[in-house]
Amino acid sequence: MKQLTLDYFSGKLAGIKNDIKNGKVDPLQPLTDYIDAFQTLPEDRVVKLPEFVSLFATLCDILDYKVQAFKALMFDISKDKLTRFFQDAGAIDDLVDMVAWRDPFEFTSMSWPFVKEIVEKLGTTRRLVPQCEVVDDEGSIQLQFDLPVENQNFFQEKAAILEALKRYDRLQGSMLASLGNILDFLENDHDIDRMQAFVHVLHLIQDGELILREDDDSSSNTELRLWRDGQ
Amino acid sequence: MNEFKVISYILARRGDEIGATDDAMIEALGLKGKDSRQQLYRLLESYASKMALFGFKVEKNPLDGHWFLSCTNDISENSRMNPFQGRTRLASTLVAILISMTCDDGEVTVDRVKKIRNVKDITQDLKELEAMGLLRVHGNKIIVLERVGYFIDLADFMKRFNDYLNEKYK
Repeated sequence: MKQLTLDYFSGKLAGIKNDIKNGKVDPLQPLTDYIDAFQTLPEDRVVKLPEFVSLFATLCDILDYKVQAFKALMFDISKDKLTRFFQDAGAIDDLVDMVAWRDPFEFTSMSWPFVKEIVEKLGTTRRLVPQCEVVDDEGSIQLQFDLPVENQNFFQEKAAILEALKRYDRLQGSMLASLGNILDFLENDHDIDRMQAFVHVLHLIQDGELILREDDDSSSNTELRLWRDGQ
Repeated sequence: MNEFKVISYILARRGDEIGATDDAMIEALGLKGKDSRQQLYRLLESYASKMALFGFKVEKNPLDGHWFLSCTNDISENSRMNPFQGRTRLASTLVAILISMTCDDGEVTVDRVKKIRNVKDITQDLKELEAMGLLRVHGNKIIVLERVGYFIDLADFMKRFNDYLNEKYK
């Protein structure tokens, strides 16, 4: 995008002001020119804000035109016609048909705490994994790029949890430990969020690294053991 | 969930207030630094251009400074979208209140609105409009609340009203 100088922006605002003044532009309409002009300013426009003070007079004039236009809109309504409107029994119903109603779009399905948690995760620090390469049939590199990922890779975290469980004294040999004990161990000794640990335990069961007690039934606590030496 | 999904949710939040202010959106999106407001506007601009494809537009309620989502003009006009669908009397009472608010000197009163509506009783209408969070009634006095700005563009309404008067009573 072309980088513009302060003088150019000043001229552009003055142009907008003149267009309003000359009736070329309706002051009550949102003016996309404002946004276009703003977008063409250099990126450090906020840092240089004090230098933009000279623009404020023009901006105030434009704002004044808008306020005046709104006031004029109200005073333009003829008292005589208004009186006739009030005396006309069916007029209000005619008018209602002409109103452009807006129907705001609303969600109810997500709670605010849930969204806040998601937003916090959006802000998680990211790091770069080794650079990705796209090679052709002859092995020549066609493209290189960095893939941003979460701070800790899910699979690395799962592997770390498995290693921790292998050192857990209640899971040595063919010993069984309850799900609650495993989650306590990961939460207390390894500072892993309980819900996060539970998800990893499910993945380890699916991977066959953790095995549910064979005679387990719903009436007793869930007990698990580690898969060792092929059994 | 990405930034656009968060914006969608924030703009469509339901409650006494719909959507969110600049500051609330900046906080929710985790935007930081001196140019956080500019970052927000850039995101909103990009979001609005994409949502327009689906018939949605981003609007601001000038009465409380909240951004919110609504349908584009072509959709709302073609579908005759109306939050008062099937409740014309409510719409008529609200329009009468808005006319009194903008054209009469002084406060909006129940008696004046009854006169504009040309009906004897508007108690039920006022109760329903109050339940929608659009106004509050204290005795004979009616106070219009900011929520009205989500349902009607007041400047556009005034223009249409003016045009209507000029057309009908030449």
